[in-house]
Amino acid sequence: MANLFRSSGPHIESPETIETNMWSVVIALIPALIAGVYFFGLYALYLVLASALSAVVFEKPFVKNTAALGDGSAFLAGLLLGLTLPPTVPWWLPILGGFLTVVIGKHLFGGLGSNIFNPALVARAILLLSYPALMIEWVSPLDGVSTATPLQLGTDAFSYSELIIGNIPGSIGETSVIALLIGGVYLYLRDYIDLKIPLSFTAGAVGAALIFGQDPVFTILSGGLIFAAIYMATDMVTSPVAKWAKIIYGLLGGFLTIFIRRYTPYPEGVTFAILIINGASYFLDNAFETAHFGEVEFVRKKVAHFSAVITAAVLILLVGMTLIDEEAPYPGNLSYSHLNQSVPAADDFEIIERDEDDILFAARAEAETIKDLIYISRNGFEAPIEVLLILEPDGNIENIKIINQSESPTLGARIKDQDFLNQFREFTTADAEQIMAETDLISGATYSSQTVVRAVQAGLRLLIAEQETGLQDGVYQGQAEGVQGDIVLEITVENGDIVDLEILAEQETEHLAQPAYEELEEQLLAEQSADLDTVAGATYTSEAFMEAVEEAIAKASPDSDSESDFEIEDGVYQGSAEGHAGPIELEVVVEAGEITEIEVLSENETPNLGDDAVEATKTAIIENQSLEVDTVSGATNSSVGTVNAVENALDSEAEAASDQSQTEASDADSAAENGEETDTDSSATPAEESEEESTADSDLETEIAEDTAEGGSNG
Amino acid sequence: MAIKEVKKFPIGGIQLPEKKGLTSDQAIKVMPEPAEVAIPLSQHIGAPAEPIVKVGDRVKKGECIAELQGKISARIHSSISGIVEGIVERKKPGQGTYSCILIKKDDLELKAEAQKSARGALPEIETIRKRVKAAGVIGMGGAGFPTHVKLEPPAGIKIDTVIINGAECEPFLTVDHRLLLEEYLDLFRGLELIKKAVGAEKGIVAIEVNKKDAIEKLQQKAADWPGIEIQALDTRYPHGAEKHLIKAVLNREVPKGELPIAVNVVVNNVQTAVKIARAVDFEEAVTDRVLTVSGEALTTPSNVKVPIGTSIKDVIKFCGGPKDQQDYQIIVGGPMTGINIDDESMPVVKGTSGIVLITAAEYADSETRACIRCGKCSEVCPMYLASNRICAFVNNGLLERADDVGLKDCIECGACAYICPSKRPLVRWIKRGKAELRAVEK
Ligand code: SF4
Ligand code: SF4
Repeated sequence: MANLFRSSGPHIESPETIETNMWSVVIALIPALIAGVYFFGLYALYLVLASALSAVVFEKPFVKNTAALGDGSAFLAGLLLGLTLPPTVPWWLPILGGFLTVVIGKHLFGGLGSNIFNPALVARAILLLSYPALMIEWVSPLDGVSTATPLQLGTDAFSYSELIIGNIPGSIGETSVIALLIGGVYLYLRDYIDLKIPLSFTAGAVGAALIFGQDPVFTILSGGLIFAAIYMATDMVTSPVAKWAKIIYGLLGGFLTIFIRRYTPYPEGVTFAILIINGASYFLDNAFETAHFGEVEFVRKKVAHFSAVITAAVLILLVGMTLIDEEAPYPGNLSYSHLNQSVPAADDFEIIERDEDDILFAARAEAETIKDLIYISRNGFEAPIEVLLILEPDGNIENIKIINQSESPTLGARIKDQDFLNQFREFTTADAEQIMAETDLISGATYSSQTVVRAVQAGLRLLIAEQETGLQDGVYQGQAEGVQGDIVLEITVENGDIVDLEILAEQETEHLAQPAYEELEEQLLAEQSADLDTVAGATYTSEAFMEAVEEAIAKASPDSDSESDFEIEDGVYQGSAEGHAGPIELEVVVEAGEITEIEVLSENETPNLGDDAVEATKTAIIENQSLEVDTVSGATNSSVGTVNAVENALDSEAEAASDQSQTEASDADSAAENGEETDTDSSATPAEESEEESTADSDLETEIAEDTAEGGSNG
Repeated sequence: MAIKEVKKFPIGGIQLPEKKGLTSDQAIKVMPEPAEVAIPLSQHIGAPAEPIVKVGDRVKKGECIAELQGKISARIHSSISGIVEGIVERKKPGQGTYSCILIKKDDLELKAEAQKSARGALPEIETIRKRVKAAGVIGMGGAGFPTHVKLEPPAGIKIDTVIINGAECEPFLTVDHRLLLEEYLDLFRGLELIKKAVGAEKGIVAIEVNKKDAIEKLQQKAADWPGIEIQALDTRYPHGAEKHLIKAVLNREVPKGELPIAVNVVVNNVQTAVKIARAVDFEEAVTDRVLTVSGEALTTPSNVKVPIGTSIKDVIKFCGGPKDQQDYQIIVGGPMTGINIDDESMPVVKGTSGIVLITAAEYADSETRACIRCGKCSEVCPMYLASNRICAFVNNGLLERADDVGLKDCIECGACAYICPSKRPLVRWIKRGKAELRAVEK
């Protein structure tokens, strides 16, 4: 025994082994597994075991260990992955996950102890990125109905006690905080867990929640945070060893989790947060090495390092956050993840319309609009009630979410009850004005529930307003007389926007007109309207251009080619509007909701031109059952006057007030605009005025009735 | 009397299976003189002693047979009455050999004159130091530092406290426990002598609470000894490590690379204090020591007073030998820091605190597995080191980086290697790293 190496101590060893460490964590996870199976059914048990056992099987070629279940590390990693899976994934996914865990996450890095990243999270990240739809499909516990997680539904979708017990949608093993804590206590009592990481992780998350103005308790209880804090972030191999390194690691992880939840499309931010801090753990061990016994100088040196690193980190974060905050695209508590979780299939959410804080989004997948999302915020008792509507392209409300509310917990908060919210499903834009009447308010929470209804209504109106101005995709021609002949042009509409313009024919003075066309095209693409600034030196050309564009736009308007019903109450209505040479007065007969006859009472238009135009226009209106009719060239004013007069007639409210403004609406501009609008709006006033004048922006008969009633009582 | 305050060092340390019950109730037995003793010339830190006897000389028990050499060295005395046979080499635990004076027993039982004077007032400081030096007293806890040197602190350093290390934190060992119970008078006297020699006002006997009977008895007896306190310590390994004992008792931290005198403290082992008392009062040389012979594989675990130079084989035989059909390993010292030996002819020396026969089943020889970075080694390290990192550097030949992260600070207590779930021989690697670093630095 000359070998000092073998002969020196210690000659006894603790009973602790890799196995005792790994299996005790497995034991600690049993309560969470039981909870998961209870809430999500036996299939959840299959998923978890398939993940754990396949991890063990895939590890076999890499290890010498002959025990059936290996040293427990593969089983544990697979188990952790399995518990973080949604309970609905297909049968093969956990097996793939087991493979990714041990082969990619662990043995590619050199096996147990050599992997930098938590193998279960490596697998989870790969699965999240590869099968996003499968990995974020959630179901309600017990009944298995598709739904969203608390993180997606927002602070108020579930009570704290539900979050603690775990009867909420989520990953199999992550939902039951109480079960996870039982396991944590077990580990603590058996001294298999060091509390530094779980506590600092939670503290980091709470800190971030406070900074971002979120509910810290909700933050902790949701989104697998406890699971991560106790079982994922503490993975020995990938977390730091030194005391302060652990604390910083945990704080950073907790903070990043909330940061990612808030600023990225991944609401369950823990996966990426922990992978990031995993990468930092060797650095942290170096940077925050504990001062050795008796090292006074060392302590000072380390304190200096420590403060420097912390200061730098805080500075970077602060700068980053201000940048992000400036760009923060959404009002209130709305975040990208709300949108993403509402329409997971979408890859883009474009803001189509924004009115103060109310926003209409088009959710697009491969450039095709698949859903509309509307965010509306209305003042509740304490704070705004924030509502997100998800609508089918046809305007049906598919789902409604309360993103945030601070109503009184016992009464007002019932606005998030599904029974109440479900009422809104299947309402469409057409129902916008009846919603209040057709919704059962919550007794005792009338104000809060009314606010929700108003918000929904406002949302629908926003969509209606947008649809009215939106253009239909296609290519449309327009024509107008320029200085030296007709200008013929063509606009291309895609996704409701004018994306291209082409001049097909023109004979204008080239050196003047060409620059004007270019400038006007630019303006048009930007403004998406024919109302452009004339180009100096080419005023007439510019005007003709605009007129031609207007015609094209009019053709692109959604209702230009569709037969539409007025659905006006039967009766005879009189109306007048300024024509080319004085007022045109006429009488409109409505039968069975249709205009059956228009009788001109008096007009003073140019004989054989203007009066023909009036005749042609009124025939066209009756034929099309629409005010969106072509004007007669050469007698625009007469045509428009006729349209306006019919409109005026149909708007009984406006009859008395038929004012100057209508006479001004005699240029081609307003004709087009009316054309777009009259089909759905019985107001005869141009769009900009109708906004001031009344809230009426619906095409419905009832609306007319209501407007009349309102107008009457107001007047 | 109830135990008042229980202290401990703040960070690290472990609870070990104590196994002290095997011998803690056994009164110290005196082993008869063996047929021959091989007394090493270098049982201490410092220069080996120079033999002053020739082959064939008849020596008395307690007679000086080798004189100290230079400042740091210690005298060697014959532990039996007999005839000098010559110089022999005996294996040392670990590496290398001892040069030993071999003495054959002669049955005459001659003893060197012992002073018969009764204990009275404390002698002069110089007398104390002289007699301690003459008696060849060294640190009996295992370190083996010549005690007379320790009793003469460098000029300008003020020692205010003397601590007697009665922690005895190694499993199996109960020597100090028995000495506390049986020879507390010598201990108190020894402590007073040390205090006088180093000029300290305060004397503290620190004892782990697993020796409750000893604490209670000494608290009672210390009532007659003003200036001596008994301090209870939590049961935690390694409380017996000098620096940690000071940290626990006085909350003073010995700076990196320094000795206890840097924080005005002198620490002595229980048996050392006893030997000092006997050396000063009775001019009795160190010819024997008490050690624990224990282990699950031993027939009669005991605390035995053994003449220095007795072979380990004889000691084990005196204790009934190994149990039948037991595979066992012999450890000299405690199982945490002791050395595993395979040659039983090695002699017992002044610093041998125990001989433990560990069964093969108990013996730590599990396969070394990959570090899972569990951090247990850092958690238990009383020096606040991350031994997994030190070892990673050592094993990759990065000695300087290993040094940066505390290679030289390691006290080799073994707590990290004991606790490691992957059974990594961390302390062995650290020892090798230290040796390699020393070689590089030369
Ligand atoms: S105790 Fe062992 S396995 Fe754990 S970190 Fe230290 S060396 Fe690695
Ligand atoms: S042997 Fe060294 S590194 Fe290991 S616990 Fe003891 S002092 Fe720390």
